[in-house]
Amino acid sequence: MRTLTGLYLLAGESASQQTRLTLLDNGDIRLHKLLDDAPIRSATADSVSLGSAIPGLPVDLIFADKATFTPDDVYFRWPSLSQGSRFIEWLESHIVAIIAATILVPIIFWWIITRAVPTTTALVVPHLPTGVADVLGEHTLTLLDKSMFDDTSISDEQQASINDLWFAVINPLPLAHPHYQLLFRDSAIGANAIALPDGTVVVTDDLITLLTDKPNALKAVLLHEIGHIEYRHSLQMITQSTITAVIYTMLAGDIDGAGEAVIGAGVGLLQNAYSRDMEAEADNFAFNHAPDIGISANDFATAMRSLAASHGVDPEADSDDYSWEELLHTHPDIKERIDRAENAAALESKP
Amino acid sequence: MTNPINGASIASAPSLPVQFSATKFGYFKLWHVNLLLSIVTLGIYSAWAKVRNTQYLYGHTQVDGHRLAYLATPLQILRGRFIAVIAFVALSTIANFFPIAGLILYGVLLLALPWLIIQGIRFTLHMTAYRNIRFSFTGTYTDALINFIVLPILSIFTLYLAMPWVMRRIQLFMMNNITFGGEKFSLNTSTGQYYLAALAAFLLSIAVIAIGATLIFSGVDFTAFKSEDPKASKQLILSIFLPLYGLMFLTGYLSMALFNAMIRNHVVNNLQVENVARFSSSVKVIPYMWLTVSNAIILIFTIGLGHPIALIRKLDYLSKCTQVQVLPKMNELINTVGNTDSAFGEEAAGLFDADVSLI
Repeated sequence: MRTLTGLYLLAGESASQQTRLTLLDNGDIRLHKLLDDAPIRSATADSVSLGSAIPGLPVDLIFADKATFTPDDVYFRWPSLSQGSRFIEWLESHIVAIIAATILVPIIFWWIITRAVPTTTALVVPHLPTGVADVLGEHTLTLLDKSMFDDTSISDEQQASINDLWFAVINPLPLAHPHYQLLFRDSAIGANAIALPDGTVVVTDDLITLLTDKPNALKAVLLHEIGHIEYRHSLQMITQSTITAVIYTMLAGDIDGAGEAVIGAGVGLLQNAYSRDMEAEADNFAFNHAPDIGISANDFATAMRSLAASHGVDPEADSDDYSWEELLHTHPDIKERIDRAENAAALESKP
Repeated sequence: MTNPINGASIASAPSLPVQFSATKFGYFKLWHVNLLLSIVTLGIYSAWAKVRNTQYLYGHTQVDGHRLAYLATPLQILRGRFIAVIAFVALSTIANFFPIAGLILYGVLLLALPWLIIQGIRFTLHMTAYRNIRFSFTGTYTDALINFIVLPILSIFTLYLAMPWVMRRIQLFMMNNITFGGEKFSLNTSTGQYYLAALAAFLLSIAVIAIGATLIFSGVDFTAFKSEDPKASKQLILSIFLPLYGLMFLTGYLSMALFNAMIRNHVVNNLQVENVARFSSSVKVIPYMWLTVSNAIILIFTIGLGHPIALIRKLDYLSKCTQVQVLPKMNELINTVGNTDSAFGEEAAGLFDADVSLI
């Protein structure tokens, strides 16, 4: 038998009274007013339930009619408190669990980011129907036409000759995606090419002008874009960002304000990392298939140098000192891409 | 402002402090263990984590010897969270894969947003109890639509000059619709105070930018611009733009802290539940600015894992600055709210970032 003091409140009423509770050995309960010891109520052990056990807080006793008794002693734990509740509270206040958590949480987060999300994406994306990619491509083109793109000013003859070049790229390749097309657009974004998930590759007028005298370099750029389509990179990106958003909200949803800004920035860097991986994958596709269409990975390096120059970047600049900058980029470092292309080209000559 | 009938008892009722007994390390432990359990159970435990974290924060908040209580059950949260995640994945899949249909969908979502906001506030208040009495919310969809969507969009056309007025309206909407045991909260703020706070925040940001930019540029050796070495000029650009970027954040945090401190005092000081409770707040601007900036630094250097420490620091300070006058009717309230709410709206509000905090 033991006695406790505490506050007694009727269900749904704000009036409270100071009480003394007697807990009998069989778990039955007697409740008295603290002031004059007048009996208030009694209850059997199996008619009462307990509130949550939270570190540093008292555990409420809840009567069958939802009246509550809150012990004054915040450390008192009812003998009938379940093993599960005790275990959780023990975990939440035990130093070993804390150390494990502070070490494991970042490690598991790293694992989720670098392994679980890409693996899940790789499992999901192949099962998305082609129709989805087609509609996505169509919609994206419509939106781009309304925003970034203008009509091309490339002459019909030049378009025809570049279309010949395009078929010389795709015809020899064993492509998984069922249909491909090449489109010409003018755009303020400068020399660039964009792959849409429905098999459409858009080249800007500036790109055509830039690589007029370097048809093989243009072929290498087209190969890179075809790589994006073959690997379904648009669908991967969307799937990844949806998964990331759900994980973020489930695990860190209670963080707001400055914390949300920090984590939001982290998610942004993560998307960039995924994007860089995809660019590297598309580059590799271009390197591997260059010999199939009679060009070399060196042509990709040539294209990269021309593109870098047209965007005012020094391709030979040693960026080692600023490697953290790479975190902010959606594409891998241009010097690295050129180096990798040249390494791939060096291997081509050896059969 | 004094009630003629209860004037005497109001004057004599003592101002009681809000006692906050949560500790930084205590919450740090709880939060991290719960995060770990949430991860290893693939997010299932996150519903329990949310309930236990909130119970800890509420339970450690006492006024007049009574603790706040969080009454949501983990299964209730889990169910709402489950449906909300399905809705979120479905909507974002449609929006991502069919961008044009997505634009229409965002329009629909904009109209659903006020409903989500109301559901979120209502659920949180229904699950919050003090002395066995749950809070409630009576705001309507139309009012939420006007205050949260229509007016902020219209204020763009006033170059945001109307924004302080809109913020006052939003806070009036949220506070004046709260009820406690059938008694209405009433907030009586002045538009002038909002403009005063906005002006103060604006002047502060001008001052911070002026001082900060002067310091940054005075430390820069501009001759490097003429240097032929591309590395040197790149270094120079970094030495200017990185500090400027930091300055931008600092300015934002400081002016928001100033605005929030002034407005919180004004709101809390003019908030009451007639004959039940009056509130007062004495947040000091400089300490609050320091708290905001230092919390941001903690979060940045712990990549967000210091969140529990930053949160307890903030709640601890705000509690110390808050006082409650408990009036006679507090002892006579009867609960008016059941426990049958769905957590869907509240969870969806979290996913779609439509959750609002009350004070």
